[in-house]
Amino acid sequence: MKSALVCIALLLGLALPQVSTAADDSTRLVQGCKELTAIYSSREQQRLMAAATTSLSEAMMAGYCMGVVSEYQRRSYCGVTNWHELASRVAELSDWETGTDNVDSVLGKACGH
Amino acid sequence: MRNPELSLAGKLDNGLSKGFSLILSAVKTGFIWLSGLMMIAFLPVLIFEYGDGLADLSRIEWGFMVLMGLLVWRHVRYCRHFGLGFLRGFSRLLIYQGLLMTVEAVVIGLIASVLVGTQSVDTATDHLREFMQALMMDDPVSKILGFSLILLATYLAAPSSHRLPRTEPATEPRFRPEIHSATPTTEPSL
Repeated sequence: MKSALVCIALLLGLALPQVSTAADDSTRLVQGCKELTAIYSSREQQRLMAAATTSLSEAMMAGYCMGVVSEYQRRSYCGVTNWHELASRVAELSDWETGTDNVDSVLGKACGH
Repeated sequence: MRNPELSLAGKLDNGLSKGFSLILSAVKTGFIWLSGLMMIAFLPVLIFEYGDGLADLSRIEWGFMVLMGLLVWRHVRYCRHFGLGFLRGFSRLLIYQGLLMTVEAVVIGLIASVLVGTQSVDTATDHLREFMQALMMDDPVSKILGFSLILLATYLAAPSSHRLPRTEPATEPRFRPEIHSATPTTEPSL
């Protein structure tokens, strides 16, 4: 009985949100773009069963990526005009490639600048 | 006819091969056990990947957690029924998860080697990259398949009667002569 209570307490502990999420913006952007490309197979088409497999957090990360990418395309010159294509390029960047770059540098790399 | 006794060199050779077999068997079991442990340990990290609590759970993950809970309850119930201790029951769970992980790794390796072996270098590199990206990008279908396989391994891990070692029945004659008697038998009917 005691062990069952400990297991339940541990599971409930997992369900509580963390006090802080210390992911910096560029890492968050890359992660968000990975989520976005996991949801959308192209600019207009969602993947099969994407609605069932996407959580609220993943959807918010994907939305963050879509917003940042669209805004970058609006205000800066980028050879890629399709947001899905640019998000895919960002998602393909490794941690080693992004390093300590800020969001603009990461998007610049994805655009091929 | 009885075999003649092995020479000293033969005995040493036989003992050595037996020792190596035991060591390899222990390494194999340990590897599978650790793979299973790793899979179970990383499961919460995979599900609660952003540390956002319940907001991290998709509908599929909710369903997975409920089914996993039911299957673990079933596993514990069967382990108690068949008299397996906590360690043996837990070990069965880990070994099945480890086997699943090993099979997955082998299948991924086979697909990658087929992609590399049957195409030209450029095409193979492109296809291999796409394949690895599909695995890394958490494609919804592959996510569902992954969860389903974990549930299947948990389902199969539960002990069942025919897999457990049976106790030897009491010595009985190979066939019993039929005795026609007026007195009824006292044996319990099955």
